[in-house]
Amino acid sequence: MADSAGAPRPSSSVKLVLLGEAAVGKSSLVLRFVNNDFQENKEPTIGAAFLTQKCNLPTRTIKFEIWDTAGQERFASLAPMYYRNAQAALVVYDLTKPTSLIKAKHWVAELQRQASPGIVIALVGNKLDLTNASAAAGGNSEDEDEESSGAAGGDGGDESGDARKISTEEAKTYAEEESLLFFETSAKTGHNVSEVFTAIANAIPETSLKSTRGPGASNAVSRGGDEQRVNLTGPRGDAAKDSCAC
Amino acid sequence: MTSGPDPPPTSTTPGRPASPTGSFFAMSDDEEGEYNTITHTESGRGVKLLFSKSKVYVHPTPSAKDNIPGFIALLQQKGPRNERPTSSSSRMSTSAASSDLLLAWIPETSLGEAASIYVKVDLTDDESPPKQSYLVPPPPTVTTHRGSVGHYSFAIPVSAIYSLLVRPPSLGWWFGSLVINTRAGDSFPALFFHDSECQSTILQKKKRARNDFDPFDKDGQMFWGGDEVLRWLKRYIKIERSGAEPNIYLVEPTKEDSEAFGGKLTSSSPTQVGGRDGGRGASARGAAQAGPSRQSADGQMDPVMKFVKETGWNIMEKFSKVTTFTRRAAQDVLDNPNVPPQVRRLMRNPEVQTIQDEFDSARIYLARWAMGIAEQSERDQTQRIWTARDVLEMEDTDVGEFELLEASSLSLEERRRPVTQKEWATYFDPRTGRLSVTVDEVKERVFHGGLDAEDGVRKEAWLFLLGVYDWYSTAEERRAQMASLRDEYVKLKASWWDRLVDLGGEGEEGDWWREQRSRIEKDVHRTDRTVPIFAGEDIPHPDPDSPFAEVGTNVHLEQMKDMLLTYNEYNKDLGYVQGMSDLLAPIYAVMQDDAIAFWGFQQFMDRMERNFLRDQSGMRNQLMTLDHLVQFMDPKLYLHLQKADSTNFFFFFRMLLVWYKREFKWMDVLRLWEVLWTDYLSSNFHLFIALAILEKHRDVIMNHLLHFDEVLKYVNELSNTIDLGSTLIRAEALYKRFQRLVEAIDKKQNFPKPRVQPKSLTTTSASAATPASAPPASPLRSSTNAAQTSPGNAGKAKEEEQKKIISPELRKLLSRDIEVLPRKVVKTKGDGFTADSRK
Repeated sequence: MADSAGAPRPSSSVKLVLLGEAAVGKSSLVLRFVNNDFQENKEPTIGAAFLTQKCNLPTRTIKFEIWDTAGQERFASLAPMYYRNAQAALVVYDLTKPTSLIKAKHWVAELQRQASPGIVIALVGNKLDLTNASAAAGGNSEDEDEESSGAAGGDGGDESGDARKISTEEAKTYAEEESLLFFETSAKTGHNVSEVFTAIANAIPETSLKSTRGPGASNAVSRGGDEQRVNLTGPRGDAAKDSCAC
Repeated sequence: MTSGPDPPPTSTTPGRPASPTGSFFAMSDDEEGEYNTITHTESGRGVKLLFSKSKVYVHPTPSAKDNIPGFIALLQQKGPRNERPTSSSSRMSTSAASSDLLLAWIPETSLGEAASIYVKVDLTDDESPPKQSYLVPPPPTVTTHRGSVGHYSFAIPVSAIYSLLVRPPSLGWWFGSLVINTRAGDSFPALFFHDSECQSTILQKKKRARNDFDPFDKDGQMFWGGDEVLRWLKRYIKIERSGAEPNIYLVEPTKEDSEAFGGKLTSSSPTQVGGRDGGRGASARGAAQAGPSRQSADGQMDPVMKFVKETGWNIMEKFSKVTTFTRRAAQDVLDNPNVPPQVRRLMRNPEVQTIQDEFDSARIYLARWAMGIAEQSERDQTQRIWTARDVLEMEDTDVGEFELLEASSLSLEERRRPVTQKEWATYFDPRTGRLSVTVDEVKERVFHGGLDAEDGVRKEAWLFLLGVYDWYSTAEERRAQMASLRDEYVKLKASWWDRLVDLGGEGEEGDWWREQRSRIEKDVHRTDRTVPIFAGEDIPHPDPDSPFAEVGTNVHLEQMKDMLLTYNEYNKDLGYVQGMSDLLAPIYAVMQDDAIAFWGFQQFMDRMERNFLRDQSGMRNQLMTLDHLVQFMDPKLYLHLQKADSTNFFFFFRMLLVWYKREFKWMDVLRLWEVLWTDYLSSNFHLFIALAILEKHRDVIMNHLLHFDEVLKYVNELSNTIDLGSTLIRAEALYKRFQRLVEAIDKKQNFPKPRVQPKSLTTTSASAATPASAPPASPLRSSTNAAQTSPGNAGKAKEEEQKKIISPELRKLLSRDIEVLPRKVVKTKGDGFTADSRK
């Protein structure tokens, strides 16, 4: 009933937390998603930032309440406070920096151990603009300088100009093993950013949605079954037509 | 009543007083007809000078050098119609004299040849006007201050004065002052009595001091120039002290005025109308409130306590009548036909409204607390425990939103002038370079005025404030110290330069070091890049492997990296942590010398280390202290935050971690930090900044924000919108209030009122009827002393209750000592390579 054309879509809010090593581009991903903007040399996050953004799906509207956390380990003891009750998490690594994937795996493990059981986790490799794939994938022009997307670069580019240190295959395999959504993004070019959030929105089981203001969300339980399990689709291919604002 | 009372004779042309030759206004005999009304100035005759007092200043700007010395004077002009009935139906003026009397202020420079007469009258050592008539040229007469901008000299017919706001000198406000509020609804600039320069006041003070030993002299109160003015005026006209605002004196009040302000308790609003200086001084005022009560005499300090004593039990009821003059009720006031038109007009004055908006809360709280505490002490209830709930109940008892009289802002503004290089130099002995004033004097100046942003004074002053220099060192010692600090920095730097060869080397330590280095690299490139010295990318990056190799760097960024790496090495227990680059950047930008900036930073880090511990214990303690502070100072807001699940105060995390670096603009950060570094009031003054920010937004928070994330988002977004100047003022006022509250509560606990004590001693059994926690000896307060001496657990339980309010965390806020973590703690809780947590 809520699907009928003119009716307002049910709206639910989803708490989402960003985790990942320092300077992988967490805040930049959020800035791109929320304001469609990019900022060079964005200052390190201290404590946490809180932002919101709506995401329109064909059947409902998701209001993301995004907790963007500080990356440095020193602040790791604060993380539980943010991922407590979170329905979704974005675990970000820098695909030019191998240690950042290790850190990401730690975060995934911690979330699986400590966070709410149904939490939807997306693994995101950021700074795609620093790789050779970027031109094909993101429309990043060649003569654009080699700056990192997100906060800062990785360990430096190699001769070919491809700074990638973590292959798509490696990360994707890991994501599949752990039942994570997986994307490679560039906050700098905007590539794949809204797709991440749309995929998360779609992956949130409706049963776990609490209605905020729109009617209908709470009695949509019956539709939820097929989406209970995490969506394993790869980064490209199923870009939603009706997607998150970006 | 068009032809009823005399319209005050006015000449609104604010021209300079006519300067007739001396012969016209020299002495004449005491014949009434000999002097003239000012409407006949052209005839060249003078007006009669009844009283005058010298060294009364107008402070047109915050700067003392702009102060204009002058004379306040009471003048009498011949009434235009002597036959005017003295008991007319007029409600404005029943006194024959009031429209003939002029209250004037004339700058010394405008006196011309009349100066000697003013001086002579001033020094007349007599209670009554001089026997001889002294004629002086009539000053320009006005009935309103409006339109006379830039021209301070005035003479206002006393009949055109609505009220006088009289503020005696106090500890916080050196000069007593007087503000004339006109019937036209505006105010003249405050007149400040520089009593220490005024010969006549000095003489009168001495005389009074002698009389002090006379048992028949009942007021041995501090005498000041303003008392004199009131005394003169009372000789001629009726002056009524406002019951609600004891520092307001109504001049020839109408019946309505008297009812509104005089005998009955009502509005404090006319004090607001003091205009430009109506804004601040919750602090000055309350200083006396916590103290012992004093007798009330005209223009004397602290009438509030007396007032409280007198009204006693009825106080709450009476104060409920005050509520009409709150800011929230401002509209009601405007709509209320019974409100005197002057008040109504003044309420509309934008300046008054701004001041109300800005200082609302600090004022209200002060009043509420003072009243609440006084009321509490009157009660016979013996079991009161100071909890948030109690305080809240107190606030709910219809105390209303009583607006306190504000002390002068001008002398404060004067103190808020930045310290220049030139002024700084005067603090030191020119020969030895040793400080020749007290440290507190320097700190007071910096705390209120800050340091000049342009002239480079910060470069030296910050080293003192940060603790690099010893305050009492000589210039020579400092030079030697600088040299050795430079050497030491080079040595420290060398210790990690070795690592560069093998990039940190093998093993765990190498990994740790490389990680720290790349972290610093990234953070420096994203720290304050909008500030000019860090903006450039003009030199090639020395490290081809850096992610910024292609972008380039600049010399200052490279220095920043070196200093942070050096600190990482220097404090191996803690290591580099995000946020430190924010703390270093301002110091380096001011010093622009890496070795010196490093040591300044190192000192700063001593007190900031607690913010960077792995277990966040230092941050948690500060947030908890803030929790206690808000609970203590603003229980209503606290309850709201509690409902919003926000009492972890986590939304202040960033502000406390890097001392508001992200909340204020660059130049404001420099100013704020130097203020905080003084530790002038508290070494934790940054928590009062937090409280001030919270108080500023309390209404919004209470009315609109219901959840933690809302509060966090709102507070995060305050970034770059906060006005520093008013925040500092508010924070100071809040600190002062906090201090007084603690003192007041302590005092009450330690010294139960004698009146109550005998009663309780005779009815020891009564304590059985009350909850068992009453320490028998001191039923009123759970005094710490009493609790200790009282038998049984009851006293102890009580004592613990007490701590809920003035917790150790809160007590610590009164301390000016910087807390530096023991090395052991840093080693245990730090995250550096040598920290235990890594082993």
